[in-house]
Amino acid sequence: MEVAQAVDASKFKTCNDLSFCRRNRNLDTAAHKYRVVDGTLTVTAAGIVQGDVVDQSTVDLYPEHVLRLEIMAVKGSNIVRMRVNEKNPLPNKKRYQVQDVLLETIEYEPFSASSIKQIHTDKQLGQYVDLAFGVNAKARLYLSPIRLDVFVDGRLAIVANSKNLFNFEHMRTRPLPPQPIPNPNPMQNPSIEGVDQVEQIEQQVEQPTTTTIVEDGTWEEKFKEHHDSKPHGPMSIGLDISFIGTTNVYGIPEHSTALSLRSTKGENINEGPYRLYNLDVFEFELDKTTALYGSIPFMISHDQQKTVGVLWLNAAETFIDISDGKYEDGQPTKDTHWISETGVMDVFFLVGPSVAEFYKQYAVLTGTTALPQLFALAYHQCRWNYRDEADVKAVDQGFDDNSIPYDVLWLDIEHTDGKRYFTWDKSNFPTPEEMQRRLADKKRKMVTIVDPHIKRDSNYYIHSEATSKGYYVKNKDGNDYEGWCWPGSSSYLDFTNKEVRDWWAQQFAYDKYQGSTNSLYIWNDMNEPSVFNGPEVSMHKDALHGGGVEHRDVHNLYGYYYHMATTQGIIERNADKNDRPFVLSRAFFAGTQRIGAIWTGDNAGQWSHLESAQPMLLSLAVAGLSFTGADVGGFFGNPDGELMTRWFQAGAFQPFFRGHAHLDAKRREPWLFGEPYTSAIRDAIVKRYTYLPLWYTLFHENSLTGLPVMRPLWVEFPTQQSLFAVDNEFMVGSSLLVRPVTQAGQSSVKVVLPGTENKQTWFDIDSDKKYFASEAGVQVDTPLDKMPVYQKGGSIVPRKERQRRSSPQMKADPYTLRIALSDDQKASGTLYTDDESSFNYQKGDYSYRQFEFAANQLTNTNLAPRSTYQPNNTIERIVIVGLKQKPSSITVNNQPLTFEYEKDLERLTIRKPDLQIKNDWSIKLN
Amino acid sequence: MKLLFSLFIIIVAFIAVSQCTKDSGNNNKNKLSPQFGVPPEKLEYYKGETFTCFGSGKTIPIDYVNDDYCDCPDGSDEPGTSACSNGQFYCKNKGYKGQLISSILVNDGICDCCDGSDEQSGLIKCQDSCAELSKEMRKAREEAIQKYTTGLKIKEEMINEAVEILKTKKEELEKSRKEHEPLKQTIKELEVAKEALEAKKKEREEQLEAERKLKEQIERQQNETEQAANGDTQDKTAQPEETNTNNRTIYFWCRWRNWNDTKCYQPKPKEPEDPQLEETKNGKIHHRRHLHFIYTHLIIFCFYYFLFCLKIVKATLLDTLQEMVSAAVDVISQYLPQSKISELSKIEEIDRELREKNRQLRDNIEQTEKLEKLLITDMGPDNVFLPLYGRCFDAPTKDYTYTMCPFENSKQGHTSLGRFEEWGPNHSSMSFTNGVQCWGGPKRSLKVQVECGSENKIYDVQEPSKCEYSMKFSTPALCDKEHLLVLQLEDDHQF
Repeated sequence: MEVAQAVDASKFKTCNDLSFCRRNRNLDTAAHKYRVVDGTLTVTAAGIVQGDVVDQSTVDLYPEHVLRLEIMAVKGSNIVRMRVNEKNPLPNKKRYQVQDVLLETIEYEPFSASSIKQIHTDKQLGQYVDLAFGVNAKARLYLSPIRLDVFVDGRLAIVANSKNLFNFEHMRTRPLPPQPIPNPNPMQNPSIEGVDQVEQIEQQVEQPTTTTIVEDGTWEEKFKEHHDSKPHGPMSIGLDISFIGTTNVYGIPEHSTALSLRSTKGENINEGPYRLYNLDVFEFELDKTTALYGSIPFMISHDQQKTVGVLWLNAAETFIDISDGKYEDGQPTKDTHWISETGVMDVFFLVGPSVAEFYKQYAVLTGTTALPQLFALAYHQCRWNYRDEADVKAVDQGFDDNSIPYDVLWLDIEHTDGKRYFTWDKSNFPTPEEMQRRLADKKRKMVTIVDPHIKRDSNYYIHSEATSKGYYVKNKDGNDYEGWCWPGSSSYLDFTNKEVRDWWAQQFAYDKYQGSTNSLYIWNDMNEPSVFNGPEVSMHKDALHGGGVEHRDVHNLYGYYYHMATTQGIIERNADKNDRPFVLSRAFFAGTQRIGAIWTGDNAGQWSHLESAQPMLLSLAVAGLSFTGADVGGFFGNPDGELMTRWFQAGAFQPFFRGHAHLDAKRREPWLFGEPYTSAIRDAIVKRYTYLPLWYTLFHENSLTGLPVMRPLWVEFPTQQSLFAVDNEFMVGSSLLVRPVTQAGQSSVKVVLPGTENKQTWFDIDSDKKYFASEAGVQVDTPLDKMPVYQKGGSIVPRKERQRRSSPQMKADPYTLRIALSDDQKASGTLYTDDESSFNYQKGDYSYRQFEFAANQLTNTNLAPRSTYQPNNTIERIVIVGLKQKPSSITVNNQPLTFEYEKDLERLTIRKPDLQIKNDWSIKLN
Repeated sequence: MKLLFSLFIIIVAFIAVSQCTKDSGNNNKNKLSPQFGVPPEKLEYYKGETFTCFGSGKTIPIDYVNDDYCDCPDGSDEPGTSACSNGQFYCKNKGYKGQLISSILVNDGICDCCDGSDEQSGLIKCQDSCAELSKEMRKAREEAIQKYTTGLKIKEEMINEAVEILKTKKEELEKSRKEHEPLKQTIKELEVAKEALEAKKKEREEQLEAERKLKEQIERQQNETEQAANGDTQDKTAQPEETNTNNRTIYFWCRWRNWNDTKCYQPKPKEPEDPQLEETKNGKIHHRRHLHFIYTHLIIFCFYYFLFCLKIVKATLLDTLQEMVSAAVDVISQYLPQSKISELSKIEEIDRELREKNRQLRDNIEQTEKLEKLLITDMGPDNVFLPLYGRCFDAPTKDYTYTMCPFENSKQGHTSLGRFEEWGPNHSSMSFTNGVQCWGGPKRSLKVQVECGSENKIYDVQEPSKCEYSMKFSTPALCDKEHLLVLQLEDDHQF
């Protein structure tokens, strides 16, 4: 089959198609000047620094347009928050403040009243106050024009509004259409509210001379055949933020560009600003700043001294320009310009300065990854669509017949009765419970898809209930919003409303979702939301959510709320609420890590898409989303055996590991490609299973540290400048370096091995061959069955090397410890275990051990002495690589252990120590 | 008190020590026999003081066998545990049949052997289901034996049938080949005859053309003479026009009716007394004849149209058209001069015959090719599949009826799923390719899995990938005696 053509870019808006973006991007910085009104700066009782801000250029014209500035310091963290809102909002409309994203546990460290007492004066920048916060961090607030400099360890890290792009379009009543002077008509004198907007616009069009009063696109906008009524007019916000001393910024997913974000302003740059607006993009294009399925308005800057970042907490459509600059002292800068259509200006400045501190800080704001059940980290098999129960059975059996492990079989939209979610196509899936039980007999799970569009069919219980309860999003006229999606005419539940989310969660109860069992989990697709006949395949911005909130205010949160509601349902369906949920979503926002996994959407079965999976997943990872993956094989098209093999090899070392295919694609279950592909794919999947203990430990550690599971090299080697833009290699935790092969017929690749400063050692995980760090890179052979992965010298990785059909069957299996020694013969590693499925770990029922090798002694100690989980697993084998000296004997509790030493590989294998992982012990190499 | 305290210390120490021994001596707890999980034919290798790995020749103490640690790269030292993922475990399955399973399945909490021997570690308690399985197996085997017995009987019939069919087909081919040359010869002769007639006809037409030109010349001269005689007056000018009209009508008529009519090429000088009367009379006659001509044709046309409509039902469009044309020519030729009729009808007759012979030739070639192709098509041992040729099998499903005609084509309703392309290995499958193009997909294709059955039928139609179909075809033709013997032997040799 011919691969579907790439996305039709003209279907989607650019900055130029949107008046708010145009206005901000072309802001006349000479004319505007926002300043703190003299004498208004105070510290509130809660310890918030507060002041009034006005635009000097318009204050005379609109004296009521006063803004309220707040500065807060997050307790125990190097985070300062700057929030700007309207002081005198209009009675009919409030600016939207993003909710349910920040952790409720955030506390603020009050500023003392004296902190603003001392007003300094800078020769050029005028008056300022210094606000100390966190550890060695300081925010310097300049008053006129308003500007915020954030320092850490005495270094200037982030500067806001040094370019004077601060802009805040105060909400206003709609200006009266000008009275046509030649022919005034008193009958057409419209009131401000409730008047047909189009009519007004038409009048304005007749009066071109009056465009100075109503700018183009401020009170109404059109894109293609779609009309945006914009009843509240212009209300955008904009701010320039410069990162000082850096040449690399990252994050703000989701885009298909490189990990190190590209400049969008400057000579020979044709790409527009990065856009954040959740959209259903059919086969997205690569290396574009255009919007994709999810949005995280969080940018990270890293240089040799510090890791800092900015969270722009806004759920409306947002554009971000990036350009290279120089600070006045000659340091390089990344100058960014943030533009949002609506909402409060709410900015968090995180100033690290270390990577570890930085990710702890971000975790304080939006939380860490929900610990998945172990099965969710195993291999998932999906396709649009497995046709019927016989097909499901055959695919399941196919894995066993070919000795390929897998854990989850997925059903796409065709399993439903006419795309009515929570129902089954009775002829193809007459016995869904039995089908799930058959899988469960092999300890396998099933996932079905449940999308947010609800078929408008009065015989469909979800629809009739949602209608009668008034749970749908409304159109601008107040009727249930209707759009076109898979089932035809559909409506969309208002998931921003807690009551709707609770109701939705109830739908997953076993007695409501007929045919579901406790081994069934959920997939949320199309939750941008996708509306086939809507503007840009999404919802109209003037659609209405509860409380008069426009869709434009919450668009980027819609999918997040939906994901949240489904996840709630999967928890609540069990009486004891003690089964960890698994829900995969396509749309996301900051904080989605607390809810579940996401994948990168509708990629293509092409080498270029395999290549781009790495930067895309890394961009998500640095922005806090660790449980992510790209569809193995690519959603569209027909990848050949080689591409499939390479994709499985890469996917096996990425967090969410799922094979998926489009309806029109040929069947591509792992064994269908024949040899040598089937064996190479089997090896890749089996390898994933052997490393499951590492993956599980890393997800646990994410909840302690906030550090991404899949990491850019700079996270592990933060001072090696040459690694800062590398995105074709990545780390799994701190111990594995992965270099996917992403080109056809690539018989060898160059691998950069980090750590030149300290003679870092690396060990090929297949051959145990030792390498030393190489900035220039080493050329290694990559026959079809080989993707280069290295264990970092100095790390200990627990593995389970016995192959099983699915991950739950490995639960009792013994571990192998693989110890890769640093050049100075040291190593350490951790192992987290629990029951692999319940929430009991939250009550301390887990085990967290540390293995340490030093001075020829390997010790196992308890990192969580109060934890209660008592695994019975033993260690069946210890492999130490990079060991320069053969020991004469090895003992544990003075009992000798059998071992083998291979001089050429510097490899020691200890045979059957049979030590329990739950006990403290130490093994001596004599 | 002191004593109690030391006792306590001793107990604590004892517990601690036993804990340690437990740690290191775990393997001694459930020590398996080295022969556990070994298939009977390999038992002897597991009885010595040492064990030699099958693959590598590495020798290990017998204690290392089944000690839950993988020593042999080929996994042969752990037949009874899951320590080597590439090993195999033998379930004895007393009361049923012995079975080798992958070591992956050993001690994983799922009962794979009917005797439960694969789960000795205690993760799960397995029920012994061997007796039940044995019963099922016996039943299944009996059914299979029944199927094979019936199938083989029918297969025998099919083979006999195939002999007959083959004989007939060979004869047909021979006949077909024989008919080829005579047909070609006849066509050649007819073409020669036709050429001759056409040449004659052309000659005649040329002659007529020359005559017509001559006539025109004469007329022109006559007109010129008359014009010159009558001068330039007004009522005189009307005269030649009328004459011209007259002449045109005559000419038309002559062309159609009778070239020998003297009027046609020997126009009489005009009657000067009553030219108007003559003109009116001629006009009326001509008019009436014209009408007659048109009506007759209209009726004939309608009649033949009716016939034509009738024939459409019966014959192919082309044939009917040909017949209609020739029939129409027949009718028209009735109105043509006799000599003309004979000439034209002769040509038509030859044409008709030529068409007929050409059609026969085409059919003959087609038939020959078809038979030749059939006779070189792989019809299996003893041409056992030959009786399936020309037959079609249907499988109705919820949405469509699928049809498969072996060696020819396959359909989903009226949509072609492809024409027969080739056999798979050992006649285990047939592939049909080049069906109707799928929207946004490949051309439809079908893979038919062939298996032994007591009757010829298709079932289990699937579409594993878009527009790539599969179905099963059970046929006695694929039943083999050896398999039946094996089944019967197994049946006699119960555990």
